[in-house]
Amino acid sequence: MSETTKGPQEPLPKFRALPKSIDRSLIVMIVMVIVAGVACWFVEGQEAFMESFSADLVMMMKIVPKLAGALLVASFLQLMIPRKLVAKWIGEGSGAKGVAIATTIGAMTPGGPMTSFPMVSALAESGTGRAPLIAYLVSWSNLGFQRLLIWELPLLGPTFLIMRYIACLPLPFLAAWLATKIPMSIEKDKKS
Amino acid sequence: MLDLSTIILFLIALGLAVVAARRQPHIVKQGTVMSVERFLAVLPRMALAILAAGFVSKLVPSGPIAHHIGPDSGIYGILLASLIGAFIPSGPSVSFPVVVVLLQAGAGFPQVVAFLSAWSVVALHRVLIYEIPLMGWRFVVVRVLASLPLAPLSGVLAQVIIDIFPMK
Repeated sequence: MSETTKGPQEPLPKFRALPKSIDRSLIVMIVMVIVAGVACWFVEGQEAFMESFSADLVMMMKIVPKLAGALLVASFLQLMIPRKLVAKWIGEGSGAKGVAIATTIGAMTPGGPMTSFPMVSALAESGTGRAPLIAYLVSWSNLGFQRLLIWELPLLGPTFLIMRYIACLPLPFLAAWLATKIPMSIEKDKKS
Repeated sequence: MLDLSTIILFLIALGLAVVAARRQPHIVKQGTVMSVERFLAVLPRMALAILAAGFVSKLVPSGPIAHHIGPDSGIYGILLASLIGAFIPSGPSVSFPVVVVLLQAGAGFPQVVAFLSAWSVVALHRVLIYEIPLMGWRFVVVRVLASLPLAPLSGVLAQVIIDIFPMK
């Protein structure tokens, strides 16, 4: 875990288009589709199967252009906002302003947990308080634009997305405030 | 096929490309290549997710789902959906199709919002794989405790929003 102790100056994590796990999870999904499809065919009948299949094709036709646009936006933003700068912004803010900055940046930070957690860990070790760190994590996981663009908008539509976004906007602030009320250290156990 | 949100996405992408071309021209090509690579990686998952969600929603009886987490299930449904969401051990390629199935089977919007909040914020699988090893268990305890009320609260807020601006 040596890469987590370098501080916020660590190099930009390289984007990997195809993580190693994709093969396994794709196989799991293929098996899921086959099992669900076979079950649908035999339990609900051929008609229900075909009905579902053609509805899915229509949905995919609608999703493909959205997905393409969403990926362009997500990729450009990821390249234009260097992670080093992100770490700097979160580390500098303090108090309510720090939480607001962390929330904004969390929503804008693309990438999965393998890029976000090393950064948060480095920030924690360089002395950033728990409130901005927790606000960042809640915002990144719940309001993160990348997941929102790629999955939520195509599958659930803009009306649902806007409604959910407004309902979830206060969450990072609430979590940050609650975290400061919990009387417990967040220090890591010094084993190594 | 080209609805408003798609057009807006492409306009934003175009705007970003123009800004990038002025400041860091290499990003235009790099970003396009990255998008194509991701498109090829996400598309099969998305297609499989939609197929599985479609078949499963034919199989799932809508009665129990509408009863327990339907639009009229209120705070009980919100709490139940929060609990289920926290234990979905997967990424977005499973949880969003699950939401599609739940909605087709009669789940309510506030309940589904709570489900998504719990899944994304509590995320037990992410806690075990990344957060405990990288952040230490004390940080995780504090973060999870502070996160517990979030999902039910987001469901209640969604209910308030829908009461003010009814959807459909």
